Amino acid sequence: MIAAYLRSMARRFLRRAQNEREMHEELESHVQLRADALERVGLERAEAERRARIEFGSHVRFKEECREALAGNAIDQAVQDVRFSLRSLRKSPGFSLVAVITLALGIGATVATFSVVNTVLLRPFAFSHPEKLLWIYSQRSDNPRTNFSLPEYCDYRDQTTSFAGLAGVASFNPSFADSGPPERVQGVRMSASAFAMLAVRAFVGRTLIAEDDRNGARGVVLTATVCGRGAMHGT
Amino acid sequence: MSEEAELLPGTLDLLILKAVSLGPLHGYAVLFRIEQISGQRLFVEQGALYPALFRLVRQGLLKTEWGKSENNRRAKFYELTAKGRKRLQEETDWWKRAAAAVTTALAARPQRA
Repeated sequence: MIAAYLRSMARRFLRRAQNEREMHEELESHVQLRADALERVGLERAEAERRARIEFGSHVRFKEECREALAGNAIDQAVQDVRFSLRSLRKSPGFSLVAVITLALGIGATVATFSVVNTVLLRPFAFSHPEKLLWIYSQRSDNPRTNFSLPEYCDYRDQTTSFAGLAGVASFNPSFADSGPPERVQGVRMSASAFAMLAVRAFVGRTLIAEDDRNGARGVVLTATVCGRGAMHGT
Repeated sequence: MSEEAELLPGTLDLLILKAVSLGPLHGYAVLFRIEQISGQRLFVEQGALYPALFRLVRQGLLKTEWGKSENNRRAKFYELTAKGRKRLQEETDWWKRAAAAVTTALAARPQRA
């Protein structure tokens, strides 16, 4: 059936002129045969032909319906619809302009959002073995997703057998004061084990090591970008 | 009473297949043949015939060839393909079964309580 359908479609598009001619010829021959039959009954030739034509009905409708019965009709109709819409758009340039601008804004906004989301959310982290990384939350009756306390974290870290390693992360937003007004900076507190786990190395200097995790060790600050000149006093 | 054969779209297709099964025919002759084999009871509207023929060609049940009619006019002849022959058989069986079922249903008498 597919073969016949494709053949029919090929005929329709590749031999359009021939198709039209043949349809016309078939129509004519039908009318003539009918006229012959009427003539046999006793009508005059001219009258017979006239009667036959009237009986047959509209030529245009005949061709329309036959064309519809051929394959590929949907494509033909789609093409016609597209041409019609283009013509209509050309006739009202103001509307077309508004439509184009709306589309442009919509597409632009979507693309921009996607780029951000893609980079931040969808792409896997540039850590080693990102598929093995898990983010663990604590669950309490009043809060399905909350933090652990430091003692809790230490207990888990020391006693876990399910994980290769555990690291703690907490937010940390100190104020930095230079010679001018203090600036609030967004930061993060991490246990030293995080860096080993994520296999992240410093461009300059070093990341945290286990020593820094000890009670009473001096605070170590890592900056994500190179800071400007001038001393910084942590608060 | 004359009924139009295109009461049910499938019926017209079936009748066309049957008409053509008795030998290749051109469009006008199909009309005539259907009238003939139905005992002058079924008349097909001219406007419905050719779209149906084209549809059957598109489905691969009929094939076409140009030839000469009885009065030496050039005409396009329609012929059953092997697939068309098979479809005719299937549809005829189905029709007979359906007709028998409906007849039985219509002949049902009310049950005496």
